[in-house]
Amino acid sequence: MIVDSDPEESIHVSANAVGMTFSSGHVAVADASFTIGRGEFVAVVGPSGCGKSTLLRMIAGLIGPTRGQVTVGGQSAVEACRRQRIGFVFQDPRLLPWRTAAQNVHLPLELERVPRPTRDIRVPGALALVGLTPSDAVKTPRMLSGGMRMRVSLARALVTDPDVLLLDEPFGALDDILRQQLNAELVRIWMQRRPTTVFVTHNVAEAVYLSQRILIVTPAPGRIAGDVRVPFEYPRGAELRATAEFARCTGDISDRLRESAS
Amino acid sequence: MRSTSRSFAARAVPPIVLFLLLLGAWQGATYVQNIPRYLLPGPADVFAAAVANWRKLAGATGVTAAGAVCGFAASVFWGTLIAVLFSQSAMIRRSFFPYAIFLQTVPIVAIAPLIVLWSGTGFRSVVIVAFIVSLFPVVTNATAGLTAIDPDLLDLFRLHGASRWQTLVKLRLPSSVPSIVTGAKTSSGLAVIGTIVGEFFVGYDASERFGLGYLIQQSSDQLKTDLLFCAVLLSTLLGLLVFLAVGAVGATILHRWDAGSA
Repeated sequence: MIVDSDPEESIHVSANAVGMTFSSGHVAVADASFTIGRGEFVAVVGPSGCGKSTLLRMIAGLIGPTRGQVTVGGQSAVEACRRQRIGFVFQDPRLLPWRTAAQNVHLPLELERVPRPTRDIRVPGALALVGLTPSDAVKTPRMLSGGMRMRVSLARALVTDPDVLLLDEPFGALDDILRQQLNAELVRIWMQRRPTTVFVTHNVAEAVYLSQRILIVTPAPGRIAGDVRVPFEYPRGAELRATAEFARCTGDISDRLRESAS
Repeated sequence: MRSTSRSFAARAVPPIVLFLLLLGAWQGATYVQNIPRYLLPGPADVFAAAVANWRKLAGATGVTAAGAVCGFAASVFWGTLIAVLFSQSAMIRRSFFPYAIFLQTVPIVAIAPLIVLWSGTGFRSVVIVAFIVSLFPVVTNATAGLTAIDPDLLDLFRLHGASRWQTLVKLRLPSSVPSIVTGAKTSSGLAVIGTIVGEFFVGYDASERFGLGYLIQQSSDQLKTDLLFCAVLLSTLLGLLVFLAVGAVGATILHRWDAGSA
């Protein structure tokens, strides 16, 4: 299956000369412009502290830019976050420890006051989508492994069937095998649901494996130093990682990341 | 399990041995030095007084325990409610906090006459004193817990359009349960002290029902030092018991909250 996207055709997220200066005076993002097409999977790579997370929070409408404009579905992101369904996955699972896995996944539907019959269908659906069994669903986060907790966190972001899925280095704390496994599952889920996905990471191989396009961000204050199309077709198997093209693509982007940092 | 019971034994045996040695030295000293009983009764005298007056002592302990439990319960309830109010606005917090500190710093002896004036002497006034003395730790700890919420989780709630009430009930209150338990533990000890102090100053004139505070005062006036020792010992034991009970209840509640909450 070939997933082609034409961002020109239907722009979902756009940033126009966006800057973010915090009240402390720290310039997190200097001048970033990019567009993301509807249903596209874009990875954002850059060194730690380059303002990638700030960009993601601006797309989510959690913070407004101090310069320029971020729009989602044609509206300013801060406005749009009330109308668009947005799923956000944090660096850590960030689960509520007093709730079971299923109750954690249930939370966004409660907050958005989704009618109960819909909730009762959505929650098991989301849990199954990320590969959690009914016996895992009744466990509290304390009883789950790190990988399982991340799956719950992913299910919580997916349960509202979001238009936009934002992930902030979600698998950074997991070991390599688990990370690759969850990467494969994320691609599968994305192909199934096709949310517009923005995945922030500092791991280039992960970005190449997952995304259709990669935005390279300079060290703070963040600028977009590159916009690279990833040439591989979906579905992407684990064997892709072992190919020469994959290594070349990863190497290219690592080089550009280094150049932009110097 | 075995290792914990062994370590418990390792921790418990030395203080018990020391206690028995001190008891022996005390008894020996009173015997050898021939100290008058009204100055320092020996352990045997104290024990004899306890046996002779057990009905009186049990009744007083019961009354004091009831006062402490009522004062403590009021502190946890009102303390949490006040903290919820504080957590809703920095303005409210800034306005009221100095007066909350007043409660902490004002010597209870100084306001005891006012309490007697407004509420008379008796059980209710004793509970009021216990309440005033034990309120502060709950307010400060609960306020700290309610305001120190994981910013990512606050973002998550905002992202899904949570109302102020939903954020309070589904995030702030459950997140602050560990802090409230910590405050309650401190408060429980203070409630016992507050009750006994209250019985000193706003307690019972000469009714048939009286607490340990009254008993301490009375036996001191009558130079019944052996009975005084019994009352002091029981006060200490009561304080310890209440503290341990609150700790055990707290540990049960907190079972879900600890570790792995990320």
